[in-house]
Amino acid sequence: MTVLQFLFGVFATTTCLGAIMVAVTQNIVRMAFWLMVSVASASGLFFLLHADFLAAAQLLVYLGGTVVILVFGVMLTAGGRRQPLTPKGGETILAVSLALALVALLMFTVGSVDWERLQTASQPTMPEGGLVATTSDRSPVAGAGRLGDTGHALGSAMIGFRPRFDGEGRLELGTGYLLPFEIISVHLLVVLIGAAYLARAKRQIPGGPNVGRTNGGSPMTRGPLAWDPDSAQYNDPSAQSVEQALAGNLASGGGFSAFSPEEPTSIETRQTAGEGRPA
Amino acid sequence: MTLGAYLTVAAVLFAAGLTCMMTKRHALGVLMGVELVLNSACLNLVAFARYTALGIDGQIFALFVIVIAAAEAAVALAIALNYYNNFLTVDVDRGDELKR
Repeated sequence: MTVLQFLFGVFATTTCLGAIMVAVTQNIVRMAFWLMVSVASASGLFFLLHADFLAAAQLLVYLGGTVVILVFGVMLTAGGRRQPLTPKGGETILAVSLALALVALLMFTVGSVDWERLQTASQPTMPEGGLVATTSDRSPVAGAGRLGDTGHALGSAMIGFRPRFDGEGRLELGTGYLLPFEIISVHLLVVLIGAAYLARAKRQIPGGPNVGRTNGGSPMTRGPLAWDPDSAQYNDPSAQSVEQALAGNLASGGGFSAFSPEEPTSIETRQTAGEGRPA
Repeated sequence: MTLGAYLTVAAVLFAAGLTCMMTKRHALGVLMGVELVLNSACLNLVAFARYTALGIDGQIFALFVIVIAAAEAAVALAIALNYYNNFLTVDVDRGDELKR
């Protein structure tokens, strides 16, 4: 057993174990931890596949960004009453059996295809031992033939240059990925603006039905609410009437997008979810 | 290692993510399942880039997948916050106002 095989075994085990623990664990913070384990081990697998830049990007973006964002989301939505969010038994059985069937199908497919023939057919000039990075092999950009240097090839492909050898060993200039690169950069900008727009602090109508949106944020930051047994809802003691609030809001030029008439369903939701808070 | 071993790992990752998406009632738990599924697709792309003629193209697509996953996490977090502000919970089963 070579070192590479040993490392593959370690990383593959931790990747699969972390993923399965994410699916099994019910505590959301522990789920985030296991997701970190799984993602970090997957990054190790990327290193083993000679995708050094991608592995580093995985570590930076996933561990440094996505998982931290998830933990932030967990903390921002953790207020109020803590409800047990356990899945229903029948759904669990259905989901697990479906997932096992999918794994069986994928394993069968992986086992039934002759991958060796595919490798040798596609790489007639595969070097002995197969340890040299094939991506660097075929890329005549800087660092050709050196192991694990995919940064130059990735960067030049991103700005539109993708030189590669054709069958006879001649150099030809393929089309790169400049347009997808630009599209995804604009996409990231749109996502940034959209996420900030979605999560922004909303304008609040005092005394309006949407008490849960006071201060536009979490219920932990809102002012004290009084329980009104007659109308069976929480009221802001310092609130004006709805008409006054609407008139004031319109006079000040503000919009009220979140206003909707009283409806029993939302009252009931708020009532059940708001139990246990100080009145 | 062979290509099949990596594909097997990716298959297990995908199934775990799918189970997570189907069983979790926490909105962010569902999001973590999506992340696992995207990660397994990423692993498949890199494995094919290493072992077949896909070459550097597979890694570029994997890079795009990572970027998309990060963007999707940001938007999904904003949606989850809005959902929490409206329903005071993150239970996805409670978001059934259209049904009533």
